[in-house]
Amino acid sequence: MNRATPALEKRIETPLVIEVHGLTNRFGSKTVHENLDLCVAKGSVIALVGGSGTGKTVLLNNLVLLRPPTSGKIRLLGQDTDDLSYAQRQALQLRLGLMFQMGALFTSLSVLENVCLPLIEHTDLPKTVREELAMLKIRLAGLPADAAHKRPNELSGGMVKRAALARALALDPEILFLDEPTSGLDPVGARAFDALVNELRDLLGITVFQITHDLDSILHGVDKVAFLARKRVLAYAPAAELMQSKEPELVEYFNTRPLQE
Amino acid sequence: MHPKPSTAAQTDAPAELQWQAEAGVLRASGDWDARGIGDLAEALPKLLAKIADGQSVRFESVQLAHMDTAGALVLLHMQERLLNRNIQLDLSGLQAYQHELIALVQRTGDLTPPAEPPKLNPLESIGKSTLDVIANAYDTLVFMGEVITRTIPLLLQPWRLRWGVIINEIQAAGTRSVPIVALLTFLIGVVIAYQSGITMQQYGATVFLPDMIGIVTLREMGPLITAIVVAGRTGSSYAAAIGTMKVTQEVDALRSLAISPVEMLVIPRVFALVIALPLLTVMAMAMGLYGGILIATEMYGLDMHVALNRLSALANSNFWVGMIKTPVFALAIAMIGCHEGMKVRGSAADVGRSTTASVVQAIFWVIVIDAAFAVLFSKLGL
Repeated sequence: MNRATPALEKRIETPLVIEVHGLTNRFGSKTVHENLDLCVAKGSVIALVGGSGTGKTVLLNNLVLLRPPTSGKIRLLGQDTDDLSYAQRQALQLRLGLMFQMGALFTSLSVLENVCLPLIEHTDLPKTVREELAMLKIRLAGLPADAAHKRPNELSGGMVKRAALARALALDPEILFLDEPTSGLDPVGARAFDALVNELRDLLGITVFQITHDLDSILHGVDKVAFLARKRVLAYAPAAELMQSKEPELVEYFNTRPLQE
Repeated sequence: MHPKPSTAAQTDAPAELQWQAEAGVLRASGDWDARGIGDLAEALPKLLAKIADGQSVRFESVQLAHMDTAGALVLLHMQERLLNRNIQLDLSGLQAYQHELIALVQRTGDLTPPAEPPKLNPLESIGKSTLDVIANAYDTLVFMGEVITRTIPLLLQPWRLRWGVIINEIQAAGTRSVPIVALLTFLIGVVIAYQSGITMQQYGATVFLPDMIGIVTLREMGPLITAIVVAGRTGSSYAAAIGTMKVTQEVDALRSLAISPVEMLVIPRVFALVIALPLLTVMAMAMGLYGGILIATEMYGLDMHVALNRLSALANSNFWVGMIKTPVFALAIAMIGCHEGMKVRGSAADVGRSTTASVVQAIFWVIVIDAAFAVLFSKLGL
C-alpha cells in the first residue's frame, strides 16, 4: 500500500473535512496545546504523531466532540462545532467513526451485536439487512465470519482491534478516527491493517485520521504526517519530507528508531 | 486515489423508488444510505411484486443523491430478488463509485450471519445450573479456605497486616456510615417505643417500656439494622471495586507481581469491617436507646431516672448477646462482597450482577445468622 503522496498535492480543489484554528487545551495550569492549526483534506490518510504527553489523544477527543477545547475553532465536514444544538451535534457525530485504542467494545454484547448497535439506534433498517450490513463491516475489517457471535473477552488483541474498526465503520462514516490502530499487532497484522485502511479509503471515500507510533505505518501507510510538538502541529507534510527536516524534535523522533530500509 | 463524490451531495431525503411500468424503469431518488434506506428496504418486496415476470428493467439513478454500503446492499438484494423471477435489472446508469461499492459488497461474499450457537434444551440447562451450583459452592469453599490460610500467618505476625489500607477501609466503611446508621437506629428506637407504648399504656405498664426498648434494641435491632445498612453500603462497594479491578486486569497484574490479591484486597477489607461493624453497632444501640427513652419520657410521661434505672438493670447481658453477633455479620458481609467481586469475569454487566448479588446474599446471610444465634441463645437460656 505505498500510497505515494504527490497526487494529493494536485488536488487543490479538494474540500477540507477537518479545520482547526487557534486551538488551545489547558488542564489547570498545564497547557497541552496552544494556538494549534490543522487542516485535513477529504479522502486523505493522516497520521498524528508526537512523543508521549504531547496531547495526541486530547486532540483526537476534541475532534470527535468528546471533549471541548479550552478555546479555538474546530470545523468538521464544513460545520462549526462550537455552537451546535444537541440534534446537530448528534447528526454530526454519526458522520464520524471512532476506534478506541483498547477497542472499547461493549463487553456484554457479541461482536455482531456491537456492530449492530449503532444501526439499531440510528437507522430503520429491517433486521436481516442490518445484520448483513454488520457482517459486511465485520468481513471488511478482516474478521472471519465465525467471530460474529463471540464476546469481546473471547477475542485476541488483533481481533478486538478489527471488531472495533467494524463498529466504527457501521454507519459508513465520512471521517474515521483511529487511536493507535496497529499498536499491539504483530508486524504482518499491522501492515495488513494499514492496507485495509487504505483500501477502505479508496472504496468508501472516507478520510482517515489516526494516532500512531508505528514507523512503518507513518512511512508507507499514510499520505501526510502531522507532528505534534511545542504545543502545536510543528510540521505537517509527507513522512519522507519530515525525515529531511532539521527540527530537533523531528530529528530525534525519526532517527532514534532503527530503520529497515 | 480520486475523491469519491459519495458523501458530497447528501440531501437528507429518504431513499425512494418508483416503478414506471410503461417505460420499464425503476426510478431511484433520495439518499441510499444507512439512515435513509430503512423504510424502502421494508417496503421493497411489495414494490417489486408489481413488476411482471420475465421483462427487463432499467435502474435509473439520476436523482439518487448519495449511496453507501447499505444502499449498495439493498440494491443487490433487489437485483437478486428480480433475477429469481427472471427479471433482468440493468444497473448501467450508476456512477463509477456506486459500481465500486456494489462490487465491494459482492466481493465480500456471503453476508448471512453464522447461526448462533445452539441454546441449551431444558434438560441441559437443568444440568448446567446444577453443575453451576456445585462449582459455585466449591468456589466459595476455595475462596474461604484461601482467606483463612492467608489470615492465620498474618494473625501471628500482626505487624505484617496492611494497617494503612485497613485504616482507610475503616474510615470508608465505618466513619462515613455513622450519620446514616445513627439516624436510622434513632428513628427505629422512636418507632418501637411509640408503637409498643400504645398497647402498654392500656395496661398501665408503660414503666416496662425501657425493658422493651432495651431488649429489642440491644439484642436485635441495633446489630441487625447496622449490618443491613453496611451490607448495602459497604458490601456492594467491595464487590464493585474488586469486580472492576478484575475487568481492568488489575487483579491479574497483582498476581503477576507475586502479590496475592486475597492478601492485598480481601484480608484488609475483612479486618476493617470486623473492626468497624462492632463499633458502629455500639453507636447504633446508643442511638436506638436514646430514641426509645426519649419517647418513653416525653410521650408516656415516664420519669427519666426510673427509665435509666430499669435499663441498667437489664442491659449488660443483652448488650453482649447483641454484640457477639456483629463480628460474624461483618465477616459474612465482607467475605460475600469480596468473593462476588472476585467472581467477575471480564464484562461490565458482570460487575452489576455481582454487586446486586453481594447485597442480596449479604442481607440474606445476616438474617440467617441472626436466626441461628437466636436459636443458640434460647438453647443456652441467655
